[in-house]
Amino acid sequence: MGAAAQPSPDARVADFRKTFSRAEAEVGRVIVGHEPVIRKVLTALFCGGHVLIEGVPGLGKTLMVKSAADSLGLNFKRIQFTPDLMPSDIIGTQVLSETNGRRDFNFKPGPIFAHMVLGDEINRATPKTQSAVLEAMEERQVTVLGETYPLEAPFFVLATQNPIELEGTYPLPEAQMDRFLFKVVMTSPKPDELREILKRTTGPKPPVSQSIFDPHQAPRQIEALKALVREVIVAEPLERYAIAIMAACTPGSPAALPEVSQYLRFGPSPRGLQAIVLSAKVSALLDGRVSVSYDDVDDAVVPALRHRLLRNFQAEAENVATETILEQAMKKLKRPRN
Amino acid sequence: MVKPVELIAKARRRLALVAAADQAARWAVPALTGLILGAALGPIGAVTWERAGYILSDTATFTIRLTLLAIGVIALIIGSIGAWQAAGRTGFVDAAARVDEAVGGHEEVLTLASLSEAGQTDAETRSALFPMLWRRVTNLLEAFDPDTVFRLDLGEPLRRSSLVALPVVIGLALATLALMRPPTPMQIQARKLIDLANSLANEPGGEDLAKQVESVAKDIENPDVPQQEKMQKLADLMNRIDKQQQQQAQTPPDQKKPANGADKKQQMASASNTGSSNSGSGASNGKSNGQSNGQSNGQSNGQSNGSTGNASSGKGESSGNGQSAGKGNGSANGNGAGNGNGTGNAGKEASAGGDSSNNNASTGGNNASSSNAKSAQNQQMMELQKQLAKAQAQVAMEGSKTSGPKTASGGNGNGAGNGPKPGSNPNNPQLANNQNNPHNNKGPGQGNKPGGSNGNGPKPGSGPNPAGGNQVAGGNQGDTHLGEMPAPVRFERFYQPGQTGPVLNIRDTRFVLFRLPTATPGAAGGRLSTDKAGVHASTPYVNVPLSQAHLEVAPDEHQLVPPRYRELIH
Repeated sequence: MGAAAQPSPDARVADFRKTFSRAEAEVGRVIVGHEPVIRKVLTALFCGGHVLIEGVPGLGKTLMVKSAADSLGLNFKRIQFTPDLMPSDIIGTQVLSETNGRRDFNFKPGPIFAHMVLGDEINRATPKTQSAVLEAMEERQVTVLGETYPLEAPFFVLATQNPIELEGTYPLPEAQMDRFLFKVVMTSPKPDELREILKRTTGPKPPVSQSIFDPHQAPRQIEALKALVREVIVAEPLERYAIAIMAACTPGSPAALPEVSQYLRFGPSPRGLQAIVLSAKVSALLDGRVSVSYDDVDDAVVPALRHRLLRNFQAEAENVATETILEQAMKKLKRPRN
Repeated sequence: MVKPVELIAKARRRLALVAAADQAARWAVPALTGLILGAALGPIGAVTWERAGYILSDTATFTIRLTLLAIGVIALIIGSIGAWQAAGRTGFVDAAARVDEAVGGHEEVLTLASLSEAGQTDAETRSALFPMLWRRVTNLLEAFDPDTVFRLDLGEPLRRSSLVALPVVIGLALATLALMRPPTPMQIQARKLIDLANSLANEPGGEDLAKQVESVAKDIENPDVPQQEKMQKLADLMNRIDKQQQQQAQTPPDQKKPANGADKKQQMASASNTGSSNSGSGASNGKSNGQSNGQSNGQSNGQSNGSTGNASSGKGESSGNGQSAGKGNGSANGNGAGNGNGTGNAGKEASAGGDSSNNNASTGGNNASSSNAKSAQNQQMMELQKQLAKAQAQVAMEGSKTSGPKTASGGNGNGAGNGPKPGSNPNNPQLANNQNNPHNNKGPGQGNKPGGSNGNGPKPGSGPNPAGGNQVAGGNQGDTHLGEMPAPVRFERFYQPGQTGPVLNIRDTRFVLFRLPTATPGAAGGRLSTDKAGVHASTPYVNVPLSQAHLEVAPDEHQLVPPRYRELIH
């Protein structure tokens, strides 16, 4: 008996689309509106990246992440970041325990050991604590007292930060911001959406997301879908196009656009390029294609790069957002000859 | 079964062709405009002459033509290079991108093409999803035909090309306007000769003559051709025409073309005209034979005193059966052949005016003949002779202008020197010294005094000159036979109302018809009106129009008006 027959590419792509759509629908049963945010969160999950969500309190950030975990059959942990939060509170610590009269140090995993971790108001923790989380995000493992503990895949962190009440906060350093695949911004719901929120949350039976996977199979299935994303083909002209975007957004680069040189201090890192391409691949799969298009790349630029650009004093003084700079740059950038 | 890679390659070839054609078309109009205009500059110059009365000099024409041809060739080269480059620029992946656009492929065709070009379609190197990509592209290209999708549409590039060509045309127009010049009398004369040559070329057997006339016309127009050569060529042409006419004259009458019955009266009036010219002291004797059919008697006496030692006096006689008597012009040339034409009365028909059919000297003679009926060819020949005579005059006048100072330098205060002698062309000092020139037989009084330092000086016995009494010494009296007119010196030509000038005792010259308006506003705002009683002027200083009473019959010839007067006549 040989190995199980590999599904055809068409079936794999169809399965991906179906899974993604069902996950979107399940989250959408709980969260009203915010479809682009939900899609980006799920896209980052299948890309293997992490998401920084920015929005005022009460917009349903936590609920959305929990709903996404529920719909995908993944376990979920939430960490409320405070100034006195210690790294051990997140990654875990050695605890002295006594078993049959014998005392041993046993590792007690922290909340980071979960498939989906919500770091709420991450900018309220000290940099030391932030660094502990961000290291885990990148390495997908934690080290406690010289012993390394891998994090179970899929490991997905969603950090939120409140753009207001910045007093007493510790804004994430640029190096740490760079570790997030996307930064998505949640905006206030519209009146119709508010009405729907009221209807869903104040009724006798609030909606709950249902898992689309068997919880025991979910991690493996999600990992298979993540592998499919990486198999999506990117043509050389599209790679060059993405690179041109990066170069155009890098101040000091010969290809930098004037507004970039005017308002930015630093441009995106190569992680930004990876984020763009991976996101574009997911977009291609969602469209039923196995190759990336220019539209896919364009669609990924703002969420993938907005938090990687460091504005200069002039931009801050003139209140020029990085999104504005990116959109202007995108307008001026021309695609290679089609 | 669709083969995507081959189809993309076919699309690439098609796109290369379209791009090359598009690029070539962008420069096609300027190139063709330059080349066509450069080639057609001659006709354009002719139209400029015919319509506007201006000419483009040969130098200007050459410059413009060279520029236009250069523009055309450069545009052609640029278009060719552009087409070649455009065809080469259309690569395989670029073509795939265009195909993607055409079929809405979301860069799937592009991706397949780039993988194919990079050699990443092998099973070992390609993605696991490649078969799906191939299948999707195949489906996309099922109904794709490069020839129908990528059409060869040259409308837009030609429109843009026309915009590029527009400056060329505007530049040509501006250059033409800038380089157009009013023609010199010599050029006008040359054009007239060319026109005559063209009409002669249409006549049977006139091709050779037309070619010669055209050649001579171009030569006299060309400033690089020496004066003597021009005169020589003109003389040769004149001789040829004379011989041709003599041959025609010697043809028996019954071989001549029968005249139209309606012109019988005129035939009657055209009496046989026999003229003789006798050279006085020269060695040449000439006879001029004319013919007049009818019943007119006439005499033509022509006298011409030529240059010293070779002067010839022409005497023409015209005899017939009619009762006409009149004055005519006798003429003689150096060959001793003279033609006498005159006017006379034939029956009740009266004709006035004389016509000197010969080219040079014709003063003081009497002619009597009439010949109103001429065949079209004869008229052309006569017109040709007339124009050639004028051309000679122009050449001579031009020569006098250019080499006048040399002549003057040969004289001295005592009147001794190398000045023109009687009988020589005063306007052509070089020829004046050439006393054997057969075409310079001048009547007495036409030449300058011996030793005179100025060929245009007062002439002995120049009584017939209407302004002779008022001429300023040293003024340009000119010679009407040479196409010159007396210069309007100061006030002599302007009279107050009622005041008559000296009697116009013009003899033996061609008439000038000046048709002045009946009412001319004076310079000071007054008016001049003419009625049966005479001329009345409200201001004293206006020119008196010539009376038309003496012009019952239009003169046969309108004399060439000197260039300086042309702008005055409307």
